[in-house]
Amino acid sequence: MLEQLAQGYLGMFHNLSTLGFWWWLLAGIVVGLILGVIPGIGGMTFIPLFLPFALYLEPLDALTFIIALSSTTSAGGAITAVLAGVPGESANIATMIDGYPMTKKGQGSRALGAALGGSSFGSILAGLAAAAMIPLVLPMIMAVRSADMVFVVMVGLTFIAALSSGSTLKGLISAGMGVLVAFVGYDFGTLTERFMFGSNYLYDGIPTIPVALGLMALPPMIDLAMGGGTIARVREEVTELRQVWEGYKDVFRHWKLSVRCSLIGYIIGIIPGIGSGTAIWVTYAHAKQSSKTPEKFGTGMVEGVIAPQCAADAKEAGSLLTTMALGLPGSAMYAIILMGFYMVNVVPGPSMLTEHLDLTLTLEYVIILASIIGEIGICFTLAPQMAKLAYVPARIMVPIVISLVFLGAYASNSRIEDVLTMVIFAGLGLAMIRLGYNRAAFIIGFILGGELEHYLRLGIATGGAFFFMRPISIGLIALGIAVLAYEPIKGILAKRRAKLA
Amino acid sequence: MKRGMITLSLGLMVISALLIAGCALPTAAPTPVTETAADFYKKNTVTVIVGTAAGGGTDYGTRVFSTFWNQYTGGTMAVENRGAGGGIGASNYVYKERPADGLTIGVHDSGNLVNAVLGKLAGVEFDLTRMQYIGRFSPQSPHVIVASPRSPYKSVADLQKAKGLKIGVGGLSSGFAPGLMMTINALDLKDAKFVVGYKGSSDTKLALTRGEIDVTATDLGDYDLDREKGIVGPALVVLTWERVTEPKSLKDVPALPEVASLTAEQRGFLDRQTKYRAGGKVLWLRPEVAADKVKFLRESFDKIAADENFIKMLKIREAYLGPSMSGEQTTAYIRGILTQDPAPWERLMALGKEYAAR
Repeated sequence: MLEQLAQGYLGMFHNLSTLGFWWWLLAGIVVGLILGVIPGIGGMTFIPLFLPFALYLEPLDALTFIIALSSTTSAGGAITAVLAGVPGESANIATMIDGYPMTKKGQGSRALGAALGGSSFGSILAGLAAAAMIPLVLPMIMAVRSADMVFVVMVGLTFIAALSSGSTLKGLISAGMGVLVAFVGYDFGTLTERFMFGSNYLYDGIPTIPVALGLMALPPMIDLAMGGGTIARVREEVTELRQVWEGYKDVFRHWKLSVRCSLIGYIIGIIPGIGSGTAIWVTYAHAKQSSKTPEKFGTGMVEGVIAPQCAADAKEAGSLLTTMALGLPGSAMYAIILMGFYMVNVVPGPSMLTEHLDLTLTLEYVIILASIIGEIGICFTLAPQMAKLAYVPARIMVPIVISLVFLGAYASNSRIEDVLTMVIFAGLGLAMIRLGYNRAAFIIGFILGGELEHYLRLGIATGGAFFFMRPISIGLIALGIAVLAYEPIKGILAKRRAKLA
Repeated sequence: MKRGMITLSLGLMVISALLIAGCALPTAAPTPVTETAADFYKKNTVTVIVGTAAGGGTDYGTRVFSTFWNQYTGGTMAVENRGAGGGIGASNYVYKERPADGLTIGVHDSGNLVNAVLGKLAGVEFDLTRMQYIGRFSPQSPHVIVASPRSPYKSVADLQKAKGLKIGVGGLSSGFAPGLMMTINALDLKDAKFVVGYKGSSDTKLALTRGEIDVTATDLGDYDLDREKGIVGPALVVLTWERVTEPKSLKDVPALPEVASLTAEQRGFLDRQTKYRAGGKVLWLRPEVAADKVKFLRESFDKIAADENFIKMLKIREAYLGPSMSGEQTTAYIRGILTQDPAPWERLMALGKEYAAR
C-alpha cells in the first residue's frame, strides 16, 4: 500500500509539472467562478456543453478543467449571495442568510473574505483528507445504508429548530410547508400523481432553483426597490482590502468551527445520495448552536458565512473520491463529470485507488490548487473591487439583479414555467417575511422533505419495522435528540445558574 | 424617485420576460422554396432533447453522436437534457410543444417509452405509432439477474430456497422492472420482496454492493466491468431464450427457460421482454416534420452510425454493442411491438405492484 501511495504521488508530481495542466487548471477556475456568479447557470449546465471538446484533449487536461470548474462554482456563487442576496448556486443559500446582512451593514468585503476563505479552507482540508483517507473510503461508503440516510436527513430537519429565531412553532410550520411542496410530482415508486393537477410541468416536482431564487433572492431586491438607497446602509471606515483580509482571518479565528464544518461536508460528500442541501444547513445550524450569540444569526454573523461555505466546497472533494473509487456518481454534478471520464476513456472504479492512483491524487490536488489560486489568489485580488457593488445605487442595482434572477430561473431548465414558479414563490417569500415565518426553514423542508420520504420508504422496505436498529442509525438518532434537547436544557441550566447566583 | 425605479424595474422585468419568450420561440430561418434539406441543416442548429438527466448511457451516446454531426452535415447540434418524469416530459415536449421544423429531435430508450405507453402511465401525450424515427444507434443489451457480492446466492436454486429475499429496482416504470417482475413470477419466488424507489440504476447498484438488497438486474454489456469493480456479484440467470455467447464470462449462466418451466403467459412475458430490450436508444421527430428533412436526417444518421470512431466511442461505455437500426427499421420495430396484445404487459405491471406491496 505504501509503495503504491509513493508511486501515486510520484505520478501526481509528474502530472503537475506539465504546462497543459496549469493552463487548463486556470481556465477551469476562471470559468467556474464566472458560472457560479450567474444565478441558474452552473457546472451542471456548462460541463455537458464542454464534453464534445474534451474528446480532442488529453484526458488529464480535460478532467483538470472539469474538476477545477466544478470546485470553484460554489465560491463564485457566494459572491452574489453575499453582495446582492442572490445565491449563485443552491449551495450558497445558507451563506446568504448572514452574508447579505453583513453587506447591508457595510461589511460586504469582510463577508466576501470569509466566504472565499471558508471555501478555500474547506476545499484544501477536504482535499488533503481525501488523499490521506483513500484506504478508508470504500468501507465508509459501504457502511451507510438507506436506513441510516433517513436519520441523516432527520438530523438536518431537526436543525430547523436551531434556525428558528423567535417562534419555533412558526419555524416548524414553515418547514412543514416546504415538505408538503416537496411531495408534488409523479411518484415512480407507486405510479401515482401527487398534486400535479394534470400538468406535465409538475411531473418531476417543483424545481429547486426557481423556488430558491423566488423565495430568497427576489424579496430582498423588492425591499431594496421600495426603500431605495444602496444595499450597504453603512459605509465602513476601513478599506475594502483590509476588510477582505479580516474576513479571511475570521476563518482562522473560528478554526475549530471551520475544521468541523469542512469535515462534515467532506463526509457528506463521500456518501452518495446526500446532497449539498444537507451539508450546508447542518453546518449552518451547527454554527448557530455552537455560537455564544446564537440569537444574532441571520443579522450578519460571520460564522454563518464560514460554516456553509466550508462544507459546500469540502463536499466536492468527497464526491470526487466516491465517483473515482466506485465509478458511481457521488452527486448529480458528478453524474455529469462521470460522463466526462468516459468520454476521455478513463473508467472510474477501484483501480483508480490502486493502479491509477496518480490520476486520483492529481484530481484531488486540482481541488486544492483551484482553491489556492481561484479563491485565495484571484478573488482576494478582485474582492475589494467586487465589494463596491454594495454601494451601487438601488436604481441601478435592482433592475439588473432582478433581470439576472429572471434569466437565471429560465436558464436552469429552459422552461418559461420556471419563471412563473419563481414569481409565485417570491410572493410567498414576501408574505412569509411580513408574517414572521422563516424562509430558510421552508427551504430546508423543501430540499430535505423529498429525501426523507425516499429513504424512509427504502429503509422500511429493506429493514422492516425495526430498520433503525443499526449502530449508525442509533448514533444519528442520539444526535438528533441532542440537537432538539440542546436549547431547552441550556435554558434550564441557565435558569438554575441564575437562581444559585 | 421610487416610482421611477419601480417603473424601471418593471420595465426590465418585461424586457427579460420578452427575451426569455424569444429564447423559447423557434429560431429557424425561413426556408426558401429552392433550399434543400442539406442546406437547411447546414445553416440551422439542431437541438436534441434527451429524456434523461445528464450523465447516463442515453445522454452519453447522444453527446457522442452530436460530436460527429458537423463532420457529416456541416451543421451544429446542441444537446439538452429534460429528465422529468422518466422521459415522458421530454417526449411530450418534443411531440407537442416544439415546432415541426425538423430542428428538434427527441432521444430516449424506446423500451421506456413503450413501457410508459403499454403500462398506461399518467401524462403520456405522445403517440409512438406516429413518431417519425430517424434511427437507433445503440440497442439495449439483454438483462442479467445478478446477486449482491455480499450475499450467499450463487444460483437460481439458492434464490428459490431463500427466505426474505430483497430484489431492488428504481421504480415500477424503470427499464429493469419488467425483467425483474418476470423473474420473480417465473421462478416462483414467493418470499421475495420487490424493493422499489431507488433513484436509478447507479443507486440500485450501490444498494446491491452494500448488501442492502440481494438481487437486481443489470445490462449484459455492463456485467464484466461491474463485476471487475466489485459492484455486482455472480450472474444468476440471463433473460434471453438461449444462453449468450458474449461476453464469455456469461456463457455458463443459464437462460431463463433453462431454469423455469414457463407457462404460456410467462413465455409471453419473455417474448415481450426480449423484444422490448432490443429497442435501444431511438432518435425521433414529431409527426408533422416534412418528408425531405426526415430523409436527410435518416441518411445522416446512417452515415454516423456506421463510422468506426463513433462505434469505438460508444463501446467505451457499452461493451456489448449491437448493430444500429435505420429509421425505417426502427419504425417497423416499434410499430410491431405496439400491435401486439398489451394484456401481458398490463398483467406484468399488476404483478409488480403486488410484489412491491409484500
